[in-house]
Amino acid sequence: MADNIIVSIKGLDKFFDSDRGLVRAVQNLHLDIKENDFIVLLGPSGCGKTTTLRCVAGLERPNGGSIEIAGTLVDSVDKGEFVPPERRDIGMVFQSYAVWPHLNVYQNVALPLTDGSRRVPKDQVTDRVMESLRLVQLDGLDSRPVTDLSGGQQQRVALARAIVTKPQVLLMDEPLSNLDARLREEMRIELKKIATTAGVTTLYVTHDQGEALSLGDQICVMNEGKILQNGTPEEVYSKPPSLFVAEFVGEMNFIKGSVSGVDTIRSPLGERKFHFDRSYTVGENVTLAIRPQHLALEPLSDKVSDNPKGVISTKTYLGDSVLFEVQLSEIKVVIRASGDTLINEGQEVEIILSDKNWHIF
Amino acid sequence: MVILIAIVVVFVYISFQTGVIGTDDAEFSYDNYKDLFGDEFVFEVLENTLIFAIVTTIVSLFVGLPIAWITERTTIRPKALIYAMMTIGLLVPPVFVGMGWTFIAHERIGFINKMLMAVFDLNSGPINIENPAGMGLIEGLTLAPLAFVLSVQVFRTMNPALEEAAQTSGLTFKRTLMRVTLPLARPAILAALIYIFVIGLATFDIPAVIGLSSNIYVFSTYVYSEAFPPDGLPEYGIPAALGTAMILVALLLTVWYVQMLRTSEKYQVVTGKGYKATQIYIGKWAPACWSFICIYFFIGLLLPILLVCFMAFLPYITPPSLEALKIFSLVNFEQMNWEYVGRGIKNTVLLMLIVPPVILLVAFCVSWLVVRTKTKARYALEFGAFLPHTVPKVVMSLGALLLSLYIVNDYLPIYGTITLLIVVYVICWIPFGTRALNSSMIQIHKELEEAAYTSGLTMVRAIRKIMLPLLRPTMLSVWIWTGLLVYREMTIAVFLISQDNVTLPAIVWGRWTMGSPNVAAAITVLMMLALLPLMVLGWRFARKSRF
Repeated sequence: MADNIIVSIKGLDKFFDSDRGLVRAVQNLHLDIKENDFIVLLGPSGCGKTTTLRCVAGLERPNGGSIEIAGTLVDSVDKGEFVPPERRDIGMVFQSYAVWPHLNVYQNVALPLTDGSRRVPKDQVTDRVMESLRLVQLDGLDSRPVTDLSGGQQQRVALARAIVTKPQVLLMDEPLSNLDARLREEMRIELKKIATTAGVTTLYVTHDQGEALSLGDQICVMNEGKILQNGTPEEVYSKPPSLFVAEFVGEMNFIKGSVSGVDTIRSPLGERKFHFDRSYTVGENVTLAIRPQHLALEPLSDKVSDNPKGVISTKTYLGDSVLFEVQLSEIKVVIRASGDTLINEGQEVEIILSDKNWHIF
Repeated sequence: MVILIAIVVVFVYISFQTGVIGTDDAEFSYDNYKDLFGDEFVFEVLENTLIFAIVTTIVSLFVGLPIAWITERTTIRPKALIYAMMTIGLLVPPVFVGMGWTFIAHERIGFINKMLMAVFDLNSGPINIENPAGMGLIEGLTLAPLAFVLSVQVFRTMNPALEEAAQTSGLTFKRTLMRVTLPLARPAILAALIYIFVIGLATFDIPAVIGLSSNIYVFSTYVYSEAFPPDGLPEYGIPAALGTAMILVALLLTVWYVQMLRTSEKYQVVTGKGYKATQIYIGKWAPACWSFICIYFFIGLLLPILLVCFMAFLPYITPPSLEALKIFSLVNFEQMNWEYVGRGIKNTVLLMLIVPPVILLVAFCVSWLVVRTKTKARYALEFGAFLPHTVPKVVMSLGALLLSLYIVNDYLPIYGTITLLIVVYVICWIPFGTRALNSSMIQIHKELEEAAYTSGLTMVRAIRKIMLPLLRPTMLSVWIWTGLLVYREMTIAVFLISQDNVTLPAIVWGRWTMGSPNVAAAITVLMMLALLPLMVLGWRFARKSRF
């Protein structure tokens, strides 16, 4: 098992001195990355995801714990081991692209091979650079100054430069955040393809849940220097273990209530039955959570039902779907319905609740 | 840096000594300070210095600031020409302008005065620049390009969105200027003001060239005349006491300056990515703006330099006229002590070759440590590199003189050698180098360097392959500028030269004070001719845009 783990982070700690005193950016973090996996670190700004990445790169020195890359111990605070970034078998793509403005496209990609610690014989440099450029679809632009390129193209140069040494692990620090929305979508698909084609283990940092869900084989949701959940995108989306993860990944309705019986919860939706996955004491305060697409609407009819009733306060048309904000007596909920619904703003509706898809925190 | 501290310490030490330095008579006392503050003449000197510095500051900002604004924020064309004119203004040694103005407006020999005296039948010239305000005016004119350079930065880096927001909020052009642009520029302008004021307090060359012969003293010339009296023993104690007080004043002002600079940086755009400041259509105001610039250029630079050139070809001082042309001759050049001048040329060239690379090396190391590392020492380094800026050149030179002559002479006989000049010059312009390198190193995104590390480059290689090429334009311009500054430096040279290590500006100074202004003018012409190609070079590199 140990032989296909490429990056192994154990008990990583990193502190920073700041004006507000000591900040614990990363706290006792454990993470194993398997060969060819695409791992995304997801979290709000300041959650320690970039710091973790920079520790793996060797751009920050940890205050505790150890990091191994491809079986080589690169950081160990206990053993006093620290391998500087240039001697780690990594490639890195930076948020600001960081393409060197005084070199052209070819020179940017070639420099790691000609001057880095992972040099190749001179006669192979051109082949390797061209191969790399072809992979990011920049072949033909190799003699252009990088400053002439668009943001998306500079991004590709940065990517080509990072993979040209065929590193054991590719590190990406919010690589798409400087691109505009449409280009970001394109590059997202592209990135995944390139990483798969190059067959490189990737550690990717982002605060964008859409990026995380679409790119990652595994997603680590982080907050306050800790990993809250490590799972597949499906797991992270459908089984958030905590309120924070539920709130951060995807849209979610939160309804406060309290346990009123063996399997019932009283809330603004009325007293209803739920499947409890653990035992609660009666009177305990809980938060109910459900995604907008797991709720449905019906125009108010004469039929007698115990469904909660409300009024549509806003309707946001998104083309393929519609987001309704429904005002109930005390709370508002957001409901996603298909785009061809005939329900309009101001209309009285009742909300159809199912037993499934509820999360209780 | 250690040397600098040694110089300052020696200086402060001497300020507490009475009696002949280096003998047993010397003893510790506060007498110098008592004498200093009990001396009415010293108060006169201080008053002169203050008037001089204030006039200098006002004049330079009055000229430099509007030109900077016009250049950066209007559609005036061609901008390159204004930059060229201002760069020339920065490069021409103030001494030359001072000499030129003496020929123009000296009470007795100035040609304007002679003309006016002839026309209106007066006994003495009505215009007189031999007073603190007059000298301040000339100094202000020579410092106007500096004021320009300092404020151009402000207008260029100001975030245009701030002004656009004012406009979209319905503010008129005038109101935007008054309520947004100027308040935003205020800290930076104030910083420029303090900067120039400090220079005004300490400057030597123009007060020396114009004022010394008429016994008008400011701080720097007073120190000089005490340390190098025409007769009698040099007096170091009192000038040292005054200098110590001056260092304190300059230090306080510098602290204030740094604070202002910090405030102003908050307003600046951090990245220059794809933004362009909106420019005001100049239209019918163009001729007025150009007149302002050209009038400044003419009276501040062209006229005095023309006069100097004119005098260089005359055997004695004569007002410019057709008749004067008849006595035009090369006599000043022919009778020059070429052996002596040759030594001056040799030394000057030597200094220009050695000093800039040394400065670059030291400044690069300091800047890199300050900008790129997190060591605690970087604050000390930054402060140390800035310190020479607060120590007036006169004080530094005199301190170096005393240090080399009385303290280390026994085991390190560098007094009277070119080495001494090299050391002092390097210390003097390190702040210049670090400031330029700091600012362009900050502009180079840290990730560019980190990308090199993660690509497998060692630190040394990353610096060589990434940092140095990116910094090359700045390095080159620092190289050329320090070279030019060394070339024109008079103050330090005047204090530290002897027969062997004489430099060209010091020779000019010598001829001027020994009563042969025409010979001085002749050497000046030679210097300016040699300066021309250098100026073109300097101008090209000063303009070279950074990445």
